[in-house]
Amino acid sequence: MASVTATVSAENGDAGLSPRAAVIDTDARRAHRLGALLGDGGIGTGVEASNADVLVLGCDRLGRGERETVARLREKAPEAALVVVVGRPGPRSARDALAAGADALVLSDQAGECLEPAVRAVLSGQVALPRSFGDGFRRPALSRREKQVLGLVVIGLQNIEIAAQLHVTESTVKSHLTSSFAKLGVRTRSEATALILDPEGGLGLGVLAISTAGEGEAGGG
Amino acid sequence: MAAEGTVPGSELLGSRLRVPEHVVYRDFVSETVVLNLETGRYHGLNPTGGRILDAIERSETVGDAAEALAVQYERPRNEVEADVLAFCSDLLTRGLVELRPDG
Repeated sequence: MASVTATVSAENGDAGLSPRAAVIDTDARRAHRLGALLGDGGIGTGVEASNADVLVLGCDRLGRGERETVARLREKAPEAALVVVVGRPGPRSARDALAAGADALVLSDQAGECLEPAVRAVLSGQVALPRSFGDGFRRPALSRREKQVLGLVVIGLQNIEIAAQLHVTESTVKSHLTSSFAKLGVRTRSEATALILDPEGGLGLGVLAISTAGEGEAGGG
Repeated sequence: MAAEGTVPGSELLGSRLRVPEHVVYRDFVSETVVLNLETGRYHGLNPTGGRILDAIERSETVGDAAEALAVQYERPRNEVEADVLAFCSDLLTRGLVELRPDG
């Protein structure tokens, strides 16, 4: 992705102790809006990315190209805090942003209230995410049955095959899927599989492990 | 490694193994993924492991599976037997195969 940098110059006079931000955005209008919001919040803008205390990357969605941009910025300015403002987030945006090296994710339509606090938070060493994305990081409390159904989804079985395997009806399988998808915050089986298996930032197969009462007695029978 | 004569665990050769009902496996391009529904744990088998598991499922006894594999891959039978026996005892330990009750 060719990233055009629109450096915003909402100059602020007292360049003294206030943190300085560089806005990176291919959309000049959004770049100006973000710059103005930062300026209103007392955060200086108009510096080069290499001199900034915080980098604010505006993007429409967080696709592969944008994640690469985040990673590149992180590499170029390892000391700077990095905030991603995204217009149309997906269910994995928060994980993706953090995995790529960002310190915060702000939703574009909440930037008015949230951008400055998020910038301040990351400058003080915190990570900031919209609350609605926090669920993606908590280990979901899946029931034994939900784990089994998800496990079979992950290895590629269809609902009818899962039903046969578990000796339940297909509609029971569907209801387990509905409840487990809700817990995982995903909508499709491929999203669920990706969320579990993704080597970077995925939940990991451990999320499907079923704790057995008499642990330690492997095999047997 | 294994010369002629008896290999460790060779009593398994006459055993009849099967994949238990709570174990599901599926072949992917570079590995076979085995899911144990009792524990929710996944096990990855390399292609060789996948072929051995397949042979065990198709054959009457472990010895038959080893023989079929030796013929198919043109390898010395005692060598294949040693590999198959080691693999089977590992699968048994992990509960991914079980002895058939009629065996």
